[in-house]
Amino acid sequence: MPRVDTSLPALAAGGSRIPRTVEAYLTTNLETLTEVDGGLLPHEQEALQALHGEVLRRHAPPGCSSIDTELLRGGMRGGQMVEVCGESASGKTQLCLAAAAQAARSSQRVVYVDTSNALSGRRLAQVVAAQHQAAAEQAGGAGAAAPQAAAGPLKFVEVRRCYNVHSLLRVLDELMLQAEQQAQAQRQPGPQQQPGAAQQQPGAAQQPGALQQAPSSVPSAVARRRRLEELPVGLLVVDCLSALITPILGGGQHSQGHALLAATAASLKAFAARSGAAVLVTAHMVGGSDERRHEKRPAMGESWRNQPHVRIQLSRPAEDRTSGQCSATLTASPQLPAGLSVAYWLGEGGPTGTPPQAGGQQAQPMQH
Amino acid sequence: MEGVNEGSDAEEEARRFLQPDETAGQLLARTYVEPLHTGLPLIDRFLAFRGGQVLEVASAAGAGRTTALLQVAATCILPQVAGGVTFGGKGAGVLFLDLDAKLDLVRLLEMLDTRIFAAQQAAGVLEPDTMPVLADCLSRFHLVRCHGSFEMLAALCSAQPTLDALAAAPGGLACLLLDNVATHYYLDRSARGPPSGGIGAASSLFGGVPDLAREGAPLTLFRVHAALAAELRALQRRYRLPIIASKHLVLPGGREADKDGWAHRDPMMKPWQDLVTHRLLLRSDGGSRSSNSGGGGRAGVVRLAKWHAPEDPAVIRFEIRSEGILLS
Repeated sequence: MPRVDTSLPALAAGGSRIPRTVEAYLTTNLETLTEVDGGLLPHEQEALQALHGEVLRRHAPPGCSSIDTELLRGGMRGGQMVEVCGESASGKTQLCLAAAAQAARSSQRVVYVDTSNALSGRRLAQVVAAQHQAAAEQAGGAGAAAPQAAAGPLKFVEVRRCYNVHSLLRVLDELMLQAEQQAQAQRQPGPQQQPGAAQQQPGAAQQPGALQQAPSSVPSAVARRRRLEELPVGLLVVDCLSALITPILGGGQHSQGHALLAATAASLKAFAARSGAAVLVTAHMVGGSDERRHEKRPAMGESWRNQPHVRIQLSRPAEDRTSGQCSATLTASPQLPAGLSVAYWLGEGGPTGTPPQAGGQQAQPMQH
Repeated sequence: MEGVNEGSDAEEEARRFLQPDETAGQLLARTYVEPLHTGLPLIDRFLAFRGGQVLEVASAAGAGRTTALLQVAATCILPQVAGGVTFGGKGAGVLFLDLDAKLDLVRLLEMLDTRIFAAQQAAGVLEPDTMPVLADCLSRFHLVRCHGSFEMLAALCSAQPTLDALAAAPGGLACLLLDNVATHYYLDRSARGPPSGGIGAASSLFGGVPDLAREGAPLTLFRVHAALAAELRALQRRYRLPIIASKHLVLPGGREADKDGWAHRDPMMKPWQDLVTHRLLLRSDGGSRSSNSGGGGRAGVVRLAKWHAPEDPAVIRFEIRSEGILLS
């Protein structure tokens, strides 16, 4: 939706209540909008709900407020592939950790494909704790609500280690198969759901009916604890994709490099479209050849440039190493003009939009 | 007596043969195809684009191909006049084949919203409400998302019922849009076996000898492009459709680019090249080479367009805004 210029008199005078920007959609409660008396006409409501569903498709915020709001317009949308590229120690892995932590905290299943052993469970737990604390501080709570055990959200994160492209393709095929099975199961509800549905009829069962339901309540309680594989994937992180692909892209031994790159991109996008998950992919940068040695370019080349939905570049300005301020630039996006840039700081909870307070600890950059 | 009848029959026949079938006016009324007003000034100002013609919009990544296609789609699905407001569209149906699997519907919604809002304001509507017009437009927009060459060909083969339904609708069928026919160039070029099913084919591409007797000949790059061209020709013959396709180019970087900025290698094979009647090249220069703090990227980008077929040396400058592409 275009940003509405509030100086327009026609709109300021009691314009339509329908939200007009993506950000407004995220903060608007759809039910309150349609409950207001004299609300919306039926066809407006249908259209609005369809739009709402499309725009809102399972946002998975990457966990950095400035990148969320400015560059991604509210977060990564389900069904989109976001590529984050940057030099070493610019915060790519931290961003992946923050995104995984944020998604896990909202009870979404996260599949984290780790190609360079950069994932550390301890660091992920640290990020989860820091995010939880930040959220509690924002909500102004005095810590009255018992903080969830730090290991609680971590059980939603599934880690796969892939050291070559073929194992990554195998993982994607497996996830695709799971998504298909889940879609099938949704269309035809299986036998496990029937005892649950029978339990939901309150007081409608007579005495003999209630007796019959009692023995069946035990297996349904067991059936409710689903295995991780049966949950739909909310976020897929591949860190770092270029480590798998760049070695095979050169001419010499591998003539299939570009085909494997195209196959990976197609598989990632097909999986995102099928399961509605958001896909986050990282890539590193390489210098050019000959006289362009000092210009860094994304490692996966021109044929990759077209594949992701959104591309972001993280950079750490060389002159400013002490202040720790980095900048994220939007390189390609279907909605915003390329070149939009936003600042972020690396802190304990991953990349944040606000500078850390003086005296706070800063996470050491992970060198690899 | 028979001889006389035969003679008069032959004369009758000869006379009938020499009679004109129809006047020129009747012929034009029967075969004249109205040009499509695409709403894209890059096309409308230079060309009367008709059914039976195939326009290819080729560029590197990020130069505005998808925006151009969406602008054409928006102009086609907007109504001509609705509720007393003139929108200047065609009110016809559009079939959009998203071969990149990358189309962002929100971008189309934004474009439509901006244009509807502007038209309503210009007509002096006090409380501009874009929602009903938007819902009406979207009912004419048909999107098919394909994840591989096989799916693309299957979609075209089975597109007839959808196209029939669109052509029978009050506005008719405006055009067929394909986003990025060159997506699967590398995949098809290296394919050695027919797809066993959907995306699983990716991992089965590189092993095993194809059993020709059972599975048929493999789907090579040439066959894909030939099949694509044949399908599109069949659709053209049946529906008199104008077709606009975008193509992703891998522009040579480095020294070659300095000599001629428009030099490019065509990833499509001859059957496709024979089908294309017009070609437009887009390019975007400059832009975020060094990231400045604060939005300096927008001002630095220069967007150029050039007609490649028919050859035209003039270079056109344009810019991309929320409502689409505008000449600058």
